[in-house]
Amino acid sequence: MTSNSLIEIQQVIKSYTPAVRALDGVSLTIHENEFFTLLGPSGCGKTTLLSIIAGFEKPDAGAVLLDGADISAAPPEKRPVNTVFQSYALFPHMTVLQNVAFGLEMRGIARAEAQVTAQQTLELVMLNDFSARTPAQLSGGQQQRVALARALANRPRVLLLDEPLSALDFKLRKTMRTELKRLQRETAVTFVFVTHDQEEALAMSDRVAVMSDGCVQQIGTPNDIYEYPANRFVADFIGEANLLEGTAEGQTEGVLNVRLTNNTLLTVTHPNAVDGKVVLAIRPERVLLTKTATTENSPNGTILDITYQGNTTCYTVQLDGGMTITALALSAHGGGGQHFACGETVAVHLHHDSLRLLSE
Amino acid sequence: MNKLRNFNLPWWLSVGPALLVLCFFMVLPIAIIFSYSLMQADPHGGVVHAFSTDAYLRFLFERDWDDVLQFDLSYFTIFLRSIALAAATTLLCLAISFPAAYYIAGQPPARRNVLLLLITIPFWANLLVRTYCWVLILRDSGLVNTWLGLAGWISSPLPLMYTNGAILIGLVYAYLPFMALPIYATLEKTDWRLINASRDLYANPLQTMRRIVLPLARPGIIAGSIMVFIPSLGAVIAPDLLGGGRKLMIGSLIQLQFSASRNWPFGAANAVILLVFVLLLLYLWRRRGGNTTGAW
Ligand SMILES: Nc1ncnc2c1ncn2[C@@H]1O[C@H](COP(=O)(O)OP(=O)(O)OP(=O)(O)O)[C@@H](O)[C@H]1O
Ligand SMILES: [Mg+2]
Repeated sequence: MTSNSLIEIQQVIKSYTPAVRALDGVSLTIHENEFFTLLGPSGCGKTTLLSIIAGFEKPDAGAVLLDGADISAAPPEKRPVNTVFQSYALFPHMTVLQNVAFGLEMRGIARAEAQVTAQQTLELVMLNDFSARTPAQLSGGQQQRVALARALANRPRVLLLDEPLSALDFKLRKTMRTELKRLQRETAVTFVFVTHDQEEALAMSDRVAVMSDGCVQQIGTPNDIYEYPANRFVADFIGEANLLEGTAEGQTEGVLNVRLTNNTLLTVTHPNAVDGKVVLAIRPERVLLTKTATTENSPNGTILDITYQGNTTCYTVQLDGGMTITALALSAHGGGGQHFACGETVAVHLHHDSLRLLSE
Repeated sequence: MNKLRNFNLPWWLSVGPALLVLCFFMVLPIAIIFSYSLMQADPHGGVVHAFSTDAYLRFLFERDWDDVLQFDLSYFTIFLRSIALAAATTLLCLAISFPAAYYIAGQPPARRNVLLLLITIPFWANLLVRTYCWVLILRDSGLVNTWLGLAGWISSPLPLMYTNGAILIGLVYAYLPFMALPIYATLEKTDWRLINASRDLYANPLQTMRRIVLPLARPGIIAGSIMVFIPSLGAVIAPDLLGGGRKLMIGSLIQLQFSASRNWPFGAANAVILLVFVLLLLYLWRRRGGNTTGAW
């Protein structure tokens, strides 16, 4: 993958009402041919950011650069950017083919030629037999694919997709994920994909920007943001995380000593010296339970609750001194899938490489 | 629909009231008018119960002293003028209403309601009174001429009253809301994201208007046009007050036959001709693939 920057968002601020900032100083860079995902809870400003890239909204401050040129003031029709709307926004008075050919015609391509290209694009999304229908005669999934074809037919530099899969059922959603990835590879168009589904984001993206309250919290590969969450919000929002509060107590050779609020002393791999209160995070699947304690980072605890989930089993463990931790393990062969019983005392291993120190 | 049917009302009870209303308010009056149009006039008013096609002949011919029919287009001219004025009224109403409705539909909901109220406020005053106000504005000693005179732009009053233009102003003023409201209703239902989608797909504002907004507003435009064209075709008050009887429209002609001229059959015949003409228009419109509910 090339890493030429295609879109640059610089310190963009946007408020709809004076009281609330929908975007509060967002900066990010999107590379050419990238599958870039904006991930965040409802209302965090994802749609607003897309609207600013597409040109439907003007930023109050900051700039949007495309290929290094400032396009902040350009109207939507002057930007080589197309959108797949959350609501699809198909033109109800046109056939599927007319919908898909619309953008090409508006760019001055002759109708006949535009319709040939439109038909080819419909083949790409496997809807070639539906070109004469109107949007009202299509299922939700088919409409979604028409919306995709309508945007893709123009071969934009950037394709913006606003939660395009949210209206689909689980099965169709999974198929469309692979489909979207395939389309992105085949067309070599840069995708900016919006979702609030973290699984979707991790599965599809080259890079993910995690947003909350109009700010970017972290940008990185799916593996980066899952394994090395930058802060408490990201650790909590992406997947499950055990958050352990404590105080830093000196550092020696890349290893930090942290005393948890229940007085357990843990060692954490961390390059810099830190002082004062800290939060540690560890994924449930990294927490290892055994019957006997080993040397370090393995406080004792009591099993409070066991949830059988088929392939995995989830244990809730109470550490001595209060503080609960969740551990996830593959289900056992026998014994009802459980390695331990409720009430049993176990050693909880928190490996120092699996613990992450978070900034607040 | 199905729910209603579940009540299992006897058919005569469910459709009965509607049939009664249709009978008494539509079929019966039209039947009376139709039969009167085929009778002889009683010079003292009313009709003589004897068959005659005189009323219809009179629309196109004049009987001279020797009882010979001469072609005479004066009534037909009134009919044509009515159509032209009604058509002009419809176009003007459309030209004024569409931008207004488009603007209102784009406002925040609270402001929308205020603006709609403003459009409908004139409805609350009597049409006769409102039209008479236009007399006060347009007559020789009226507002317009007084102001123009004071400004020194004219030395003698402009002849504004008793012209087709004056009638047109009165008609547009009277029927504007009938165009604005249906267009607003369709625009208000329009998904504004479609406009974003159109701009996103390289259509400039003008192309978006032509390819997206106008087609979607079509049902409202059609409904509004019908609701303005038909009543202004038969309008009485504006042509009477502002045309002053010098520029007759078909509505005033009909009214005249039932009052001063005491020729009920001719009045009835004119009413029938008007009705047939309107029905014919609607029929042609439907056959052309359009439909009166306005779906594309
Ligand atoms: N047209 C608008 N007028 C006023 N406030 C708005 C408008 N659009 C969005 N907002 C506000 O701006 C904030 C960001 O909205 P935005 O639509 O960008 O969120 P989002 O991340 O796309 O959410 P979702 O996942 O629910 O679609 C929200 O607080 C929202 O209430
Ligand atoms: Mg959104």
